[in-house]
Amino acid sequence: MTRSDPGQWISVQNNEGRWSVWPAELPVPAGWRAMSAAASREACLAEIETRWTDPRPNSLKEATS
Amino acid sequence: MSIETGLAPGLVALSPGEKQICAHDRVGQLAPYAIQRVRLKADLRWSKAQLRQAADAVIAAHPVFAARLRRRAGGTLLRSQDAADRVSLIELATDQDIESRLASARFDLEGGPGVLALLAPTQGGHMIALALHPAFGDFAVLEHIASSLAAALLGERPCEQVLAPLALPDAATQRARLDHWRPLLDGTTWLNARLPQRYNGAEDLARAEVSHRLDCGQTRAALRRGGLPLEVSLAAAVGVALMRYSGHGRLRFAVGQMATHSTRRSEDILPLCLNLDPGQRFAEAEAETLRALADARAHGLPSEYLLQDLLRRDEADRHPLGAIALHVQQETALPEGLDLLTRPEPAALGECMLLAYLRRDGALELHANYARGLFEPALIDRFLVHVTRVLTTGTQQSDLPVGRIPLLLRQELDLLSAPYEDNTENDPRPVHELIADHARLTPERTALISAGVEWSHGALNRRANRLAHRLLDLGVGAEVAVAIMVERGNEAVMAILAALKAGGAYIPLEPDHPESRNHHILTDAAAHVVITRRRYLDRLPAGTGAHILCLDDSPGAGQPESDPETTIHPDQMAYIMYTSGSTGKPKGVAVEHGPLSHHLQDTARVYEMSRDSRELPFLPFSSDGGHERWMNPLMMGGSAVIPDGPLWTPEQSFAAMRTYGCNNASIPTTYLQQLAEWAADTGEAPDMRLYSFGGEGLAQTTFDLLSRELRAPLLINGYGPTETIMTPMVWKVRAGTRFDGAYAPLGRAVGNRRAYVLDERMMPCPIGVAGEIHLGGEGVARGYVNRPGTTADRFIPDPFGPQLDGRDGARLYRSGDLGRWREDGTIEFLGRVDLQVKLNGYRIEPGEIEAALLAQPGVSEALVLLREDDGEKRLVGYVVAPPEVQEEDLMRALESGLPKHMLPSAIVVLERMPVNPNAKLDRAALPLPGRRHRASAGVAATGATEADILAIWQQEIGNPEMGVTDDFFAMGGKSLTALKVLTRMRRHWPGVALTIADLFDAPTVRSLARRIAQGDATGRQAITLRGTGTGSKPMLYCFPGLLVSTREYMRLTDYLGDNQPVTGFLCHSLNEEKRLNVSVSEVVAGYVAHIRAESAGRPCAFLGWSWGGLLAWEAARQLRGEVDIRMIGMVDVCDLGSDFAPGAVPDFAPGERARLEAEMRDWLRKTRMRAQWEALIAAMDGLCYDQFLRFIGNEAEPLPCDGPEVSSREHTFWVLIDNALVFRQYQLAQLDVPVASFSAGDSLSRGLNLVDWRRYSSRASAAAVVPGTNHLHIIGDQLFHARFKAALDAAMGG
Repeated sequence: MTRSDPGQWISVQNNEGRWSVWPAELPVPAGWRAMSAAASREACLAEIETRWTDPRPNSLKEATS
Repeated sequence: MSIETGLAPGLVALSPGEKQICAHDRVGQLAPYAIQRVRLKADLRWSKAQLRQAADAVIAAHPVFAARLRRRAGGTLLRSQDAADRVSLIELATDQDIESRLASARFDLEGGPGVLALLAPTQGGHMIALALHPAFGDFAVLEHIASSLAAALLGERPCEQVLAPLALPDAATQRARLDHWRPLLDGTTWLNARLPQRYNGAEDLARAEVSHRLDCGQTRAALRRGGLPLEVSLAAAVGVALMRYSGHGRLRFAVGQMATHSTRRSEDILPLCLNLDPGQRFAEAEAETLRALADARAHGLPSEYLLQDLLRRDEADRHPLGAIALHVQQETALPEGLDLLTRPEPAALGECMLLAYLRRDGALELHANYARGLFEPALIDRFLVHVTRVLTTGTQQSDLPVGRIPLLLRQELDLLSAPYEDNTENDPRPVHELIADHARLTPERTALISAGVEWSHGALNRRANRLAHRLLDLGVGAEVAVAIMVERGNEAVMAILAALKAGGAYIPLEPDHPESRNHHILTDAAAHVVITRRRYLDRLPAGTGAHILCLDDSPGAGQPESDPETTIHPDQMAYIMYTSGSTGKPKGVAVEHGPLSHHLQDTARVYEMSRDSRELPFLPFSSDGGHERWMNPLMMGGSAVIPDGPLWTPEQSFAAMRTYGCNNASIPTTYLQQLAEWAADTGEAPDMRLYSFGGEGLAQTTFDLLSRELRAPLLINGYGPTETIMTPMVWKVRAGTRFDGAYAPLGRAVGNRRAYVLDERMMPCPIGVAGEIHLGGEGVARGYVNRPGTTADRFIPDPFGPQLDGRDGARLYRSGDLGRWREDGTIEFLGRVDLQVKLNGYRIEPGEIEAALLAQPGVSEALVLLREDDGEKRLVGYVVAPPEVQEEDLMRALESGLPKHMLPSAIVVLERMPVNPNAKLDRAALPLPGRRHRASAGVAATGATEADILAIWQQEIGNPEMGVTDDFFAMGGKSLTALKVLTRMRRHWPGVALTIADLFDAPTVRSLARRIAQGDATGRQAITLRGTGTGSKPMLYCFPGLLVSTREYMRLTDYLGDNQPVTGFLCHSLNEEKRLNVSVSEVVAGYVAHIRAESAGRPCAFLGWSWGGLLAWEAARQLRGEVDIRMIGMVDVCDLGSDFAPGAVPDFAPGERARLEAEMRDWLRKTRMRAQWEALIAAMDGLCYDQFLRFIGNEAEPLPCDGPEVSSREHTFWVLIDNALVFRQYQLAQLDVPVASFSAGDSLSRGLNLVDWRRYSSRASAAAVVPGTNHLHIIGDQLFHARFKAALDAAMGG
């Protein structure tokens, strides 16, 4: 079973700065916001690979800066 | 073509459906059909006299009240309509009387009426009730009668109706329609949709019912009543619900046909093949359903024709037309004051029959009638609810894709996903501070024991502190990685605690892992410090740039013993654990302090840990579970005994548990089994409170073993990907707990987590439906080090957290594991998502088949995979086993335990699994399954006899590699091949009386040659299929059907097990010597002598299949009083049909008889069996000769001329006719023996003239019907085996 691709995805980010992807056709879950236009899942993940440079959650960054 | 030609006036032929019902009735098993009942209440606006008058008028006008069935010679039933037979209304005193008359209504199909009409006063009026035998009509007939009655009450005069003629498609249309259906129903493209079944569930006769009702408001909301027929919306909703349950959009189920007759039965089903997609809107699903319904009806056929056609294949589905059947009906409109109090009861076909019934008050009732042995009642109940949710939501939210219609409500999801209940507030501090607490509170208590060295909490803390200060000096702090490359032991634990105390993130590194792996880890995580030993220095990769500290050099010397004052942020990394991915380089999973500390505190409570806990953690330090199991006791003030070597024998482990007084142990599942086996062998197991385990699927047998032998009261099965921190789910049970499923449940989530089973569209799966396990909540890792894309791919936004827990922005980890929710809300493991296989529409977990293979003696490894060679997909099992393990035996063992769709098409026995240079399984090197290959060339023949036999065998089996010491059957010889081979050998050695028994006894060329040379062929008729052993049961004697060689019983013999001895008799027709006028009594003489010699005065049982039933009966008659026959199993035994039954006069068209006779003469001149045929014909009386001509005339194929060899068509034809002559002479006697009879569904659907054994023995029971099989295949059918064994066990026990 491969995950059937419902088509278009978007990159999303949560309040801690963590990234993920989400089907474009569905409402973005609370606490997350859309960060890209709709694209293929692979394209979104490739984009995240370059944009998510600091793995630390925002709270930790704030506490240690 | 009309089948009513040639009948006497007033007699009409029965439809295929009516015939089938009569056959069911005859063998005493009306189910799945039911007596149809209707209750009509009339209120006080009508008097009893008015009702009576109206009812009398309806009875006089409707043909069903005057109908009777008449049996002709050979069993054919015809329907008569004679005014003299008309029934009249019976008046009763109360409605209670009506109920009892309805409940006890019995109908005699041979000449009795098919309907009962009753009238009685009831509260507020009167009740008219009818009971109708299904052979005479269905619910539509009753509704029509009710409408006529209403009309009569309103003053209309009922007009007289005539019986509707049968409208059957002609032969050409039939053929065309069968051609249309075959590819749709062959199981390769359209999934025969099913609901999730109980583990090891079996379909027995017991049925159960459940109902669900939508009131008219809810129904209005659910049905957009514009344009589309009700059945379209309902069938679409059922289709969508089944797609959601099966994960498959191209699916089929059966749908009921519209009633077309008001005077006789017209209820039937047709398969509905739907092409649905989760992305469709409900209206689109309805449009597809409308198309599919129209297509099905355009190719309508009596379902019996379809069924018979499909059941010709041995591997046909048990319910080829649909495991699920849906009927949609609407209550008939009646004038005010009249109420229909009954609902229709369509035939309960398939595994689950659904009826949607729209009441005239607007309410919609959903009823399910299902096989009780197959389904959890709650599952069917929920399915009905889910159908209504699809309908309601699909109608109201018309833009929602059907794949996104929620099947679970919020509350249901809340309950299912919930963790172990625990309201305790956790301590916010990180784990090392919780552990350090005990150095202050109880410094002298033991913390660690390893290699005989014991450290107190105080000592551990002081050492860890000193090293921590040193690490701080080296610059360790938040987000800085410290690798610990030290063997498992006290010092490794100390070093880990030091890294945590310094604020760093520790990475466990195994010194004996490959250097390349460790190098990758050190550079990937940018380890700042490596703590190790001098002896491992040479294994350290060069050029990492990290500080190296060797424990042998006392790196903490001179440092303070006090706790370092570092502040730990909850989001700070605590450790990085590298997982050994199956492909590519290991990935580092980073885990933060906050979730780690919470997880450990939550887990400690689930495990009931305390300061008295002393744990033996056996899991390695390279897995996160290994760390949980020492952190847990230490943070509670308890202690851990750390094994000092990677491999302890069970003896050493038990000794350590005893020596150190351990009470908890955490152990990999495979090792736990060794411990349990050791405990079983020695009878010694130390007193332990708790064993926890995990790591692989735990089978029921293993769980039972450890549950029984290890004698610990508490057992915990832990599950968890590293990405969700140690063991996010546990199944905690008392020893002795049973579970359903291939593997032990994974349990439920621990702590602030939730566990979900989601489908491909992120929708929660209903209980019982397979989906991917997702874990969410607080206890998930930060992600993969240096892999943001992979992290984003695997850790996804949690759409449920905000709703269920008010947790915004949370993430879910998708595990890649398949699971399903169980009835108790725990999750069952089903395998890996990427290993799941889809074949013929079935989702198959290879793990389940592998588990079944591993359960066979001798099998040490098993692998099942889907091979695609030359475009053909098939399941192939590979096992590692000693050479004496036969593939054929493994296959039969699987057949008796697995459903058909899970059976591999081949099994290959290997000496070992092929591996590639990395010691991983090399799938590409697995051999193609084919004919069994020999390790070396076969042994060559010596002497002319061996050479001649070998040549025959090689040709007939088609295997030139065969040698003289190879087993005939193991090399691919089948029953038919055996017959051909025997024929050829007999011709070669006419002086030797070879029978198939010789081939069984001497199945190699060499042994058979010896027999021939010595001229001592047995000529025996009895073959021991399974011998008597110690403690074995009484003998089962199997009486053969025509041309049965006894090999047909092998599957049954296997199913019955080792302690059931079985003897099979050879059919007397299996040789070319043709004797005429043999009587049944002569045929059985040899069998009787054998039984008498073996079982005189002892108990035994008989099985008679087909014609063998008569032989068994005759043998029982002759052996009366001599042997104790506990049961005769009668398997699909038919009486002579109208072809050859005495008294069945055949019909000929004018001139036809002469033409047939000329044809026959012509044929006789050509055939080599002329002499035999002429002798046979000479033995016929006049009627029988006419029947023979008629029989020839009915044959579609030209008459055969390929005799007289045993395997030829002509020989079979001759045997059949000869047999009919023998049979005509035989009279079944009355006998006082217990009879259990079994009928194949197909034989009933053909309306064959099955023997009702209750007429010949008062100790015979009604037949057990085995659906989905036919006269030939029933003997190898699993469901038949189960029912036969149950009957045999009951007979022998009683």
